[in-house]
Amino acid sequence: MRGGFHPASPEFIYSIIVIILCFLIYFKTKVMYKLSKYKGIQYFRYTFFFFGLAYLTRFLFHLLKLGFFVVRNQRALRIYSPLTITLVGYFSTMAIFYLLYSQVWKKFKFESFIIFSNLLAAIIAIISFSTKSPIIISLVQLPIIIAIIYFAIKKKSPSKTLYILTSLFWFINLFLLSPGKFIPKNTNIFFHILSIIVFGIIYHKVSKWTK
Amino acid sequence: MDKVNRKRDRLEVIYDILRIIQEKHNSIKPTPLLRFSNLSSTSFNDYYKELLNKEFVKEIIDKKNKKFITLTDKGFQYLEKYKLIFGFIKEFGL
Repeated sequence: MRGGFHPASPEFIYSIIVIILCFLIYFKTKVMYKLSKYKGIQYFRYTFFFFGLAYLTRFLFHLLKLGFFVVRNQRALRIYSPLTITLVGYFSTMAIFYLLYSQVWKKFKFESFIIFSNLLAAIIAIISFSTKSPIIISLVQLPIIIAIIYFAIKKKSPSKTLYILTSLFWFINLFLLSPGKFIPKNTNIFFHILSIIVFGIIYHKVSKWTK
Repeated sequence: MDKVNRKRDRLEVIYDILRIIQEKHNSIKPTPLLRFSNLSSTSFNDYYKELLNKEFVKEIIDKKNKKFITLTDKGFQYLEKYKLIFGFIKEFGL
């Protein structure tokens, strides 16, 4: 089947697992945030909320693509493809921003962070819509990911490796939006398995503290 | 930097206030609480209002018309959860 996406494909299973893990992390930390109103927890939650939305959009796109392929409606596919890239661009940029800010919010008190990140994410979304390419998203997200890696290495947090891997896997995921174009198909599954392991470990760690 | 020298963050201040009330057999007057909490009276009032609004503490007036502060169930719950919250923050470097 085109794109290798069907209900039994690794891509399908991978997407569902990651989406569930992201939203579980978001909902599991709700009580903890409500009780503490701690900003770091709020940014951490939003990271996974937006990652969940980004992966969900990507997943829905693949589902639509499968549906349009079955009914042979290539025109509809041409409309939905840039729309998906736009939404994925917006949600993932927000996720990456929140991941970075959850690490540095104490050092850099940035009052207009939410306005700034939304504005930049919207600009990226518009540009990626007009260019119909995930490359522009990755070009803008790359410096943010480098910043996450830099601050994660500097910090003594036990989860720094997970942050680095989450960011890197997301970056690779952007290229997977255009299957086969940038990353060899056979290596997809390798990144999917590693991503699931990373998200699984984060979820396990979250569960430990939110019993 | 040790805890004495560095500025406590909001979460720690709230925890300290609740812990002081608990250690004083869940009943303390406002003035000693202000003294033990090691805050300026302006900051203390802000935190105190927040704790009342969040229903972590409540005020009780005794027969002699003296005001006491006690923890609510939610306040006790927060104290129990604090260790988990703090562990979570450390674990993820938030």
